[in-house]
Amino acid sequence: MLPSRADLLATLRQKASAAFVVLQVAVALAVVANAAFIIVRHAQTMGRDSGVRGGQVFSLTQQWLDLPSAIDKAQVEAINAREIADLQAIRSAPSVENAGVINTLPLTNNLWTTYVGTEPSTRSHGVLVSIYSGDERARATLGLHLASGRDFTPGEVLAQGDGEASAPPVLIVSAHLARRLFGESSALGRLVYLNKGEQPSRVIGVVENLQSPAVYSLSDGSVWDSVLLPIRKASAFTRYIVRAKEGKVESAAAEAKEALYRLDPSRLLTEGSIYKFSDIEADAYQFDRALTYTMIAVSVIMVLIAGGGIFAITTLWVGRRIRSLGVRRALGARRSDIVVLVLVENFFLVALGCLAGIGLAIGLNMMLMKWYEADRISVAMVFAAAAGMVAIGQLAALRPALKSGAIDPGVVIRVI
Amino acid sequence: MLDYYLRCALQKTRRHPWLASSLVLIIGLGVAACMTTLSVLRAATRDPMPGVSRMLYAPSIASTGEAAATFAAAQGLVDHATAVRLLSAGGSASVFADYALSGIALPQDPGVHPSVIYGHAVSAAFFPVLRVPFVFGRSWSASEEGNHDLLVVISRKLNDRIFSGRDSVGRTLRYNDATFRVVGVMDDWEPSPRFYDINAGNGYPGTDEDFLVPLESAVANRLGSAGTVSCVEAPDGKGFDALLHSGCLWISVIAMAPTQAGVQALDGVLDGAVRTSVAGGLAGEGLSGRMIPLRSLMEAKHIVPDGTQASVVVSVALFLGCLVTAASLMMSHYLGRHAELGLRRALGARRTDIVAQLLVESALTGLLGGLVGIGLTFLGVATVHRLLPSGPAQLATLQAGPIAIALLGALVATMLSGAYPALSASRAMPLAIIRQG
Repeated sequence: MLPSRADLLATLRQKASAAFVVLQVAVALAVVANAAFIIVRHAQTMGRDSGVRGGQVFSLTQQWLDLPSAIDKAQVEAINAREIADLQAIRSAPSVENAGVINTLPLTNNLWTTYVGTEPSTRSHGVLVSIYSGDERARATLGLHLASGRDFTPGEVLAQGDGEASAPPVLIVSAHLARRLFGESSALGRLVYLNKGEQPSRVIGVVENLQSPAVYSLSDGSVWDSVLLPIRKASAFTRYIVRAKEGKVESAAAEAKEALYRLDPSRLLTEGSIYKFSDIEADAYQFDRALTYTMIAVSVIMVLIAGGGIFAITTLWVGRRIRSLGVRRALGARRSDIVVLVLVENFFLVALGCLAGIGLAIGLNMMLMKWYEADRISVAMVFAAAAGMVAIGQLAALRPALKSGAIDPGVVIRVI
Repeated sequence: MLDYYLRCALQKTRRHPWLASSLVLIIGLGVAACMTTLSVLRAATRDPMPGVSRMLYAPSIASTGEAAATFAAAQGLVDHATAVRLLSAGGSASVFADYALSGIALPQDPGVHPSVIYGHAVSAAFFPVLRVPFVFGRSWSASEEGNHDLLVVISRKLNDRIFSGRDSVGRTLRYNDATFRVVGVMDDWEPSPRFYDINAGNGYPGTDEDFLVPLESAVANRLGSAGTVSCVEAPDGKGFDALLHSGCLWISVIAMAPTQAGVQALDGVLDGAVRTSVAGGLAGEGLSGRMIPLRSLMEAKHIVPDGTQASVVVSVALFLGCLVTAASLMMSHYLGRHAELGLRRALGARRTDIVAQLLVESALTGLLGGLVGIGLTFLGVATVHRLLPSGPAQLATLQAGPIAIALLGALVATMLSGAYPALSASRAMPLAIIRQG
């Protein structure tokens, strides 16, 4: 037997208790839905695929102390030769799988940008892109997936001094940039112009994904527009990237450091010289992670406390109606009828609370909109949270409901 | 009377330990969530120069051309020619310019290893505006900067590291291939966020300010920038000279202007400089310039990480939810005591007496909840420090002021949430109770 309309109206007549349950559910729903909104928002940021298969990758930065700060053409060649010798030494280490050189890495905030267009010295700037400059092994070492085309050959890699910015004849682009420049047609073999220049560069490869070094500062689209140039930047400061053999990151790092010191003991390798890509990722997203944990904690606390509150109110209310429930039992209501009555009452109030809560959740979200301009809470998320609240309400009411089913009608009638 | 109520309250607490401790814990969790997120917000929005920062301004160049986004991202930075014009503007404002340097300090003393050091090339007004304190020596004079002397002011930490903490004024510091003469050793002074080089690590660069050198000497000796260089057009040629004559934005400028007139004068100089700038083809981009308050610059740079304020709003909502639960628990508890309360009424207690007694109880709960909340906040802040090893959250602390406010807030909020339950409990009918026995 389901409770009648009169039963539910009687529920509402318990004004204070009913109001507390409704308010409880409404506030909890607003908190949980908005916490979920923040969690999803930051989890999306953290979940971005940088393109780097980074578990075995670390960067190794070093500095030569015997170079002047102004580097001329002859020194560019000399530095280039040193880098090649260094890389050979690193690669011959037993735990190392591959090694290359690159100017910067995704998520390091160490950003170099330029514009790429499809016409020479256009009036329009073209597309803003992040520049990676590396050698023929940089792509493979980072584990960037080559969607089409080929890698650079060693002969294509240029040595350039600081401030030299002539466009290389060939380059590799990210798939996102290829689509922006050429739409659905293949980018391979097409010409692009860097920085409004006259000299074309030919696209010889497209990598599936290559995220910008900028963690937050670029707009969502620009983060995926990157180019990889075949350039070994000659300066006193070098960033090598090393891919270790499976599970051998620690030993590969030690061996690589040792190999470099063997070639030139006077160079500068500092504490922070070795930077694992997994650490780069963890450091870049530390704020998003901390915020996600905080919001998870807030949601759990809110659910536990709201559940506890509903439990307390339902218990109180069953206690106050022992007599009327006992009379019902005496008049023929089964145990299950009483249990269902309490649960349906609870559902009714929680549903009312959810209605109020949806409004409150959206209101709270509008306050958050001040700081998250682009996004808005999704209706699905609010309804999912509402469904969750109903489940929690039923769970919280279960014990008092079962207890009320166990009321002994005999005892109640005797008291009357 | 109050102490009687307090004794009643304590007795109730002893008789219903579970209920009392749940109430205290609920209030405590709400307080802790608010206090933890608020302490992070306070750290992230802290004023780098209390009392001074409202007088500080930074240049902002706007463009109506296609490179508008590049200019917007480079707020606070100007090209070298514009920096020179701002520095020589005069008027009531003190203006300084700076750019980041990093290089290798080569030791002269045996047993000291070479190390990477970080610093800035700064112009003379930097020292008075930032109120840099000195342990030894002083900053350089205008004539020394004009002579392009290679002078350096080093931090106390660097002095400890390479000169073992002794007075190093007059000694030399080899930096890359240049040799600087030490003229001063600074005491600790660094503002956070580092507003005069806001692009480095978003105001929290994670490195110490090891040394400062005169801007003009650094430029004359071609010491390259280790900071952000933002170019709409690539420099015409290569090396430091090309950068110097380009329209690239790489020098940070800060003006301290006590009066509005001083700011307006600088606005004019900046706007004129960028409009007439032909270096690197900046002209024709529809450029205009004005000085913006430091606060606006920090907002534009998102110095406060996205989500910091949102987490506070959600935590406050959580606290409200906690109060609702506390109110419903108190409600059920008071109604469970209607026999006792009715008896008191029958024995002559007025309704106000009952309400007062119950409010004292909820005040005690609130106070205990606040104390528990502060304990939990210490845990929360420690966790935040562990989760966020860099950035403003490291500066999050618990101070006496916020603790006092939290205690008072917990007490008042709990009393408010206990008000309705207390009022409704005070309606217990003395006659009905007596009749029931």
